[in-house]
Amino acid sequence: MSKIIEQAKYTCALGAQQSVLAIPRAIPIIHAGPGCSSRQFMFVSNGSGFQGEGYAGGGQIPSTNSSQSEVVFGGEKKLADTIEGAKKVIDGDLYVVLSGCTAGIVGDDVKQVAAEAYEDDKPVVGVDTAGFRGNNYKGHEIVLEGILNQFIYIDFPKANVRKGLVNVFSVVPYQNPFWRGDLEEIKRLLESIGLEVNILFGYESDGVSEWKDIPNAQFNLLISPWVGLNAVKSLEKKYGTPYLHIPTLPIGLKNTSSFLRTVGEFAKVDKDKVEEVVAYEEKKYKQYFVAFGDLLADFASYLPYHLYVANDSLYGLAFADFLSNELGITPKLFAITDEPDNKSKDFVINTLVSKNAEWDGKVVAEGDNRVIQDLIYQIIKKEDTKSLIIGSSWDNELAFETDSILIKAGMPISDKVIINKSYVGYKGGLTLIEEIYSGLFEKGMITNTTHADKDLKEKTCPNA
Amino acid sequence: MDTIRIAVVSSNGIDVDLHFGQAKEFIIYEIGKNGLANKLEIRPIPEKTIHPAQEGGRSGGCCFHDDGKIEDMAKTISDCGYLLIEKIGNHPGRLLQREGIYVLEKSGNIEELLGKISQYYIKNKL
Repeated sequence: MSKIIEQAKYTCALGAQQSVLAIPRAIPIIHAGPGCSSRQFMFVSNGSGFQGEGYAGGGQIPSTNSSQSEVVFGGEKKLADTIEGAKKVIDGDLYVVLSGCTAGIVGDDVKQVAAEAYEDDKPVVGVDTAGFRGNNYKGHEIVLEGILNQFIYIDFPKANVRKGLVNVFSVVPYQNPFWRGDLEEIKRLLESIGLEVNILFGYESDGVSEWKDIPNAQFNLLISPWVGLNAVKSLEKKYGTPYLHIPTLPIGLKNTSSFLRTVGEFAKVDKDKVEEVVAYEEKKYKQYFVAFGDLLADFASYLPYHLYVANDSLYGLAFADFLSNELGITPKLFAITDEPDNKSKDFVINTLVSKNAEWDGKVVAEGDNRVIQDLIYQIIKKEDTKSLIIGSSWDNELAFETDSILIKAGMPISDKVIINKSYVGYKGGLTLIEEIYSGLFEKGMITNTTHADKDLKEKTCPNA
Repeated sequence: MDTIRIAVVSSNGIDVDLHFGQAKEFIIYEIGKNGLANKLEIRPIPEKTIHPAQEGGRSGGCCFHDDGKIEDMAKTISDCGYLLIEKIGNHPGRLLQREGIYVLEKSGNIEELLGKISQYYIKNKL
């Protein structure tokens, strides 16, 4: 990997401030240089479809704005003052101090300062999210670890298990752009088979009260290849809570039915109840799908037949699986963009390849989207087949030049607005299908349906 | 390690306790190769125009400064790497930074603060 990243797909660990903001009434406090926090906001929130500031985000985020003085003399006093100010001025249920690079180098003990500011009704935790610790996927894990170790484990050391209660650890808020809709759908699916859900992040969460309830779950559900694995392992160690690890986020019929059955079995939910839900959802889905099948037949020679995915472990795996195993699009490349360690990378690859051997040798890890683009361009030029690219706003020109259909499903998405859309579940799978095949008509209506008209390109794009 | 000079603003030679607008003179210290600070000399601040914020006052702080005068001040301490002062506005601070003088805003005992600067400098510039 080159030393310069031309097209970023993630940001530094401090970006995990957005994970704190995703917990209703949790307040991030930044101990970093001036501008660090707003830069994170610009990339992670604005760059994920303009998701807005939320309760205490954007310009509201308290920051020590550390300068040379804090570097030379130490910044702990300024941090302590900033925390006190934040507690007075911003009404929250949990305060999470995130320190940036300067504090990390200078050696300010953020955890200690946070512990000293801790009050029962205003808990404060401190985590080191210096940029050199890793990217914001790593930062998200660091935040989870900090909240559990410094707040939940201390204040709620005993579990009072409630049958049917499940904690969900899945998408990374904002970094996975459709996180709000995703979490809504995941919660709905789990509730449909009779479970009680602590969704922990997003508008359907009760906020900090759900986090306090974490120890009482019957089991933890990790819907992600690797982000969050440390958290569920830690919870198992502390409270003995078992966890179910489902690496593939369910999109479409096959994976969502499998998801419901796997969770239902692990949670020991009544099997009939699960089958009832699955039967109902599948029947509906199939009616839509069969109706859509006419389009596939009519436009057979215009369909995208080759698949390129550039996304993180979580979304990327889910899209690669659904598109190749349910829609039957031929795998060509999956570039994993979140910089997993080798063990996690191998796990993602094995999960995908063991289900569909066509992916073997076609999965790489690459954090610079420009490198991925060059690779995709090379392959498409050689293959000369209509392609589908699961990419981001970086890839508009690539899609145009290769005449490919582009679905923007990963960071950054700066030319779309994202509110509650999701590709998760039965419904999400149909939404994705809708968008992919709408891409056929991007350059105008196709009137000739018996064979591909090579003059069509000249007629619609004379200067291409 | 190179030696470094620090301009300090103080009312009594013991504490850093004045704002930029109140400063009458710079006390120049030099941190030698052994890491110890010694007082070199006192340099008076050239006469400057200070008025309370007037209509159209530029820096928006509590003093209205004339950029040209600040640049003259910067020349007085152009051999110094740092200015140690209790408080200074953003605007004069940035102008000084352009002249290569970093501003450290901190109140307290001069000796102690110089000790910390010396530690930082040794740790990072060697």
